[in-house]
Amino acid sequence: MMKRLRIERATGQLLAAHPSTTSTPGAALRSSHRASQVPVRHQSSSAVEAKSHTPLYEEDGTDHSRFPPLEKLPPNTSALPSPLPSRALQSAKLAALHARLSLSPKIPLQTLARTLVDASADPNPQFNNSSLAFLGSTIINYHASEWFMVHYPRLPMDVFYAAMTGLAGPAPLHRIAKSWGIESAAVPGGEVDPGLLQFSLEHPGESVLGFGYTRTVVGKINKNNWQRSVASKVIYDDDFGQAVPPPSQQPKEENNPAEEEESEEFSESVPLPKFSPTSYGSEQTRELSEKAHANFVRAVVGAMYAHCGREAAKSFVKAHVLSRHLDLERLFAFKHPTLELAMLCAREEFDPPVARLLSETGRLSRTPVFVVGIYSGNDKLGEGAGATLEQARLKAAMHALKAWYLYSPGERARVPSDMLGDEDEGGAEKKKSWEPVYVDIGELISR
Amino acid sequence: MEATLSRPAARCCCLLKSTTTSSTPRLLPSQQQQTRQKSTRARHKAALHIPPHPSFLSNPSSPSSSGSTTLIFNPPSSAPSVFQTPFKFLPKSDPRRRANLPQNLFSSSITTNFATQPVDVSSLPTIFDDRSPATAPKNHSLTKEDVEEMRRLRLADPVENSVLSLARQFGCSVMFVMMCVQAGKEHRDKVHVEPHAAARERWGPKKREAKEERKRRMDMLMRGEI
Repeated sequence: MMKRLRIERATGQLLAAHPSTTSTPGAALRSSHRASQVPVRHQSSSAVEAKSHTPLYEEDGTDHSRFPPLEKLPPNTSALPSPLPSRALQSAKLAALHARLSLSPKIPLQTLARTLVDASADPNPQFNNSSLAFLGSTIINYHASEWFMVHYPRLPMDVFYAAMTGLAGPAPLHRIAKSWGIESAAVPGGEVDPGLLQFSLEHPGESVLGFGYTRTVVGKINKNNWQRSVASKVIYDDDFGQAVPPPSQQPKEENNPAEEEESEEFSESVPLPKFSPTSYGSEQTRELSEKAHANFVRAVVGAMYAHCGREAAKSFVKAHVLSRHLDLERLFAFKHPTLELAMLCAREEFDPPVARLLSETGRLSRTPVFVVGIYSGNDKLGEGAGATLEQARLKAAMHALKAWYLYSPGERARVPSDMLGDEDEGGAEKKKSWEPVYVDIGELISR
Repeated sequence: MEATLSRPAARCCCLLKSTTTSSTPRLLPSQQQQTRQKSTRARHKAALHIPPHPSFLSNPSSPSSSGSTTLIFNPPSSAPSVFQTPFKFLPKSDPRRRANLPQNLFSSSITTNFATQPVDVSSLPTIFDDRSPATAPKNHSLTKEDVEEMRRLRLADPVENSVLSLARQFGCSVMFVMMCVQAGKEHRDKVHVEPHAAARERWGPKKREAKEERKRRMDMLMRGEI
């Protein structure tokens, strides 16, 4: 019996455990005094020191006479969940990433290193990127939704959610992070290079990444695959129309009895890897990886906002996220297009739509083609070609509906945040010239 | 055959053919290959001699041909883009509507310009007239009592009082009847499920596959994939 693993609920054990353990409170303390004691390694002295000192890394069980470390690390580094912030200055990967993204010098390397630490790697919110990612996600989602609202004011809400997911969801942000050349560490820890993305596949982290309410029946919705209405999605769910998962519970409650017995055979300190050990991982591990990459991109935007301000963050989002191509036409799916078009014409007080045959060829052959146009009065609303009259009429109706929904006032239409310029840079004149954007009166049919 | 032999590659093939046995399967395609004879050459060449499209011929009478630049507009036939909003769909505030440019920009939405000939819309044949809302009877004077009566009739005897007969009786559309009342589940099963289920039992694998494919094609059509 297959059972869907609920990774997001598997974190409660960790959260409940960590106040009593000694390692995690240590992470809270390590920022100030240890950072000051860290010896800065210079190229001239590193070789000499490595010879003279006794091996310092016995805590992870590595024989360092056989496997010498690539970098001289301060003591007890591998006991930490994430690398020390001061090591960011020595990482070549971080400096290269900073230069590759053309980030402003106002953004320090330590902040960039923090954006690479996922909440699953380091549960301490003072050292992981969850706060920056939350800030960045609000900025990205604001600019994306504003762009869609102004440029495609008639998008139905479910298509709008799909477009938001396609432009600013985890999958496109994951691809953006990949295109930036982000590499991930195999296992997070204090000894890894700070320029690598650190996330754990075994302990999914807990980070709040958006607004929304947890529905009271979310368990039943997930279990029975209930449909959620678009109106309730607007009220309850997050920016992408996805149900907000419930706050984490004890993962034991979710497991099958068989799995519990299996897990009790092992000690509690070693959690079971819940993924198949293939080279590409399982669906869950790919999802976790995608989430970690997306949170990194959001955190970079958040860091940009925190250090460089609103305009820089906006231009960064515009250049990296909003500039991606999204085929909006393919997001549509209809059930009764002719009926929907008739309702549109009735609402807008157009003449009722009439299907007319424009041309045809090979009616008695094996592969006929009919071209049907849909007319309202003397105006053609849509046109479609199909192998049967019915098919061609449906295509023409869908074409007309898409032409209605994908109305755009033009590429150069301004969004409200364009008016937020600084006051001393002629912001007053920009504000004067603002014209209200077109806002559609609402949905045509309830979905 | 002399035309074939005059080509060097063909001669090599013939040499090979003479050296090897004629039953070699490798040579079978060359034996079956059709060769063009001298008698048909001129005919084929004449068939391929197609005059260019009229739009590519520069008109000597127009003044623009005397200059160096001539604009040729002859796009390939393709499905219309959904991003070209018809003039009727533009909101009142849109500058394209305010500029009063329908005759220039939206000529295709007003008249069908096949071969750039304006066509009278009313001369085009309509299809599916019976399903069109334009031809549906519009009786907006039905009262609440009428609707109650419609419901009572339909629920009492759904076979006798079909949707179509009720629509004719009350002078409204079929859709309105279906909005007002739904027949009971047992009637729907009896009419829509049971006869088809019996027929489905008799389907062979080919027909079943064809029906499934047809359904899949319809779903793809609704998603805009074909």
